[in-house]
Amino acid sequence: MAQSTKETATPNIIYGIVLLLSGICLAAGTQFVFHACGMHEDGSYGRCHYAQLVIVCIGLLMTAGALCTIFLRTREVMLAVSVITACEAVFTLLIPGTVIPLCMMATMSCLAKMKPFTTVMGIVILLVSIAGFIPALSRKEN
Amino acid sequence: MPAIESFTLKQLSRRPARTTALILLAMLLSLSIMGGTLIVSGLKSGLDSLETRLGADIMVVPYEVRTKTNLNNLILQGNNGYYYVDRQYLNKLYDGSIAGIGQISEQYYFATASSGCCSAALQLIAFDPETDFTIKPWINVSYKKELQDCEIVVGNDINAFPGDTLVFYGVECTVAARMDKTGTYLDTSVYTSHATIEKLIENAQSKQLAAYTGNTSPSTHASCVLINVAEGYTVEEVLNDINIHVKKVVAIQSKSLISNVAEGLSNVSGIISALVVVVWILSLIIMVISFTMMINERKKEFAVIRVIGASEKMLTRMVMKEAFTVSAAGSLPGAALGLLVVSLFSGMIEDSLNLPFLLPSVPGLAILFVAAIIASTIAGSLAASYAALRISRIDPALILREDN
Repeated sequence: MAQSTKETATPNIIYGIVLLLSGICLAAGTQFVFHACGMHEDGSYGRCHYAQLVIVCIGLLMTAGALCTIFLRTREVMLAVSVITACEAVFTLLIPGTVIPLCMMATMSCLAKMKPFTTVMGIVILLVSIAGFIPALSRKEN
Repeated sequence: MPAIESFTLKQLSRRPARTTALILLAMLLSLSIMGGTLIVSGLKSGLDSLETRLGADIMVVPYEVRTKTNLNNLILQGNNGYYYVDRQYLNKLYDGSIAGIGQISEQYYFATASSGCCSAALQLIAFDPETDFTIKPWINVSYKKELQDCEIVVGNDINAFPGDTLVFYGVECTVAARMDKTGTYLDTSVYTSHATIEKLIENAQSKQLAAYTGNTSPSTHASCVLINVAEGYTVEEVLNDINIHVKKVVAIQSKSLISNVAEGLSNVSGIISALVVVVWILSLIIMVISFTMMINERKKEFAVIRVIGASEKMLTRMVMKEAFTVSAAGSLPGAALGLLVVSLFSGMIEDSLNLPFLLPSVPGLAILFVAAIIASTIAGSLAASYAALRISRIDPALILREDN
């Protein structure tokens, strides 16, 4: 077991760091830079605001998974985190626009900034999770 | 030949860090050319679209527009200040006092509060179907019939489709058609008849929401008068005549506004092109150095290959094959990323540059995509050509004796 942990320690750390950065980037980017539309004149929020909150939560969950990969460093954790992250990436792609409808005009912040950002991040995170999953799986088979 | 291919792949996988770095450089090359070209061509298409869709020689707007807003914004964002002129001041445009007016049509701009979702107002443009010559030709592309009461045509940036219902100030309006993308403010506007606007204003006033219109209506006021000059007259003549004789309005030549936009576009395009060139030069220099260092490092290996019978040509081909594989492996994802990012962020680019932006059509995008991959693959391969040429001329005996 000790041998197995030693073998996967470095890839786990690199994978964990990449995931950690992706999660932070997704959460912070969606919250502060590529955010949804602001408050209405009457003080209420549009549906896109709630899509933003869900994406930020997904980013934070991803960060937690990345920390598990960095500190626990086992093949099983890497596999589990990869699968969970892939699911989170799919949710990141689907939530703004498909699950939670966004605004009316393409020039509005949620469609012009948040949706493109979450689409790019979703694709990148999906590829990262696949890149982590396949080597971990093949090492187990060996 | 298959032996060379498998040897190339083995060599590349033996040094994953170096291979990854070279792939990333190739990716940067294709990303920069794809992204840069897409932005520049998008800006040019946007300007062309703006020129085509404007369709009028002269725009006559209330005088306060000149003092309260930047005239460039008028053409880029529409009359978003919502200024109105009383129709009595426009009589001279119709009674023959101004010579040289060929076609003339009025438009009335009206802003709504939110519709359905979020806080941004939609711009409603009311036009007269009898006289209109700027909007109707474009509406006719997607909708051949006359617009009925409470029927609207929406710009391409509005997420509504034919048959959908949008509610403005309690009035349900049916979407009759959706216009093609123009890359201009026309994409975020809603087009309808004067009668529908009158109905909306009536409802807005009954709900005490008439702030945007200032108690005006299309029957008494206009936001903009569009004029095409008759044959035998110059635009300048008519323009000056209007500015001298018609009070409370200012006539603007559409072409002069477009030339301002074109100037801004040329500056932005220049900066983007310069950045792409800088990225290419730096990446190519790094690639040339990387390949030269890599070949120097593997001199003995190549000498042994020569000793066991490989020709100079075979050695060159081996190195070029490695460079080609690495460049192609980086170019494809780089071009895809450039396409993805620019396509997705086109709205943000348009907004931040404050210039019309229209992505090329799908065949145009496909051509650009393939061209970017080919260009960066060739450039990456050429970066290795010097190193390949040098290694093919080595003297194996000299190299193998070097350490002894």
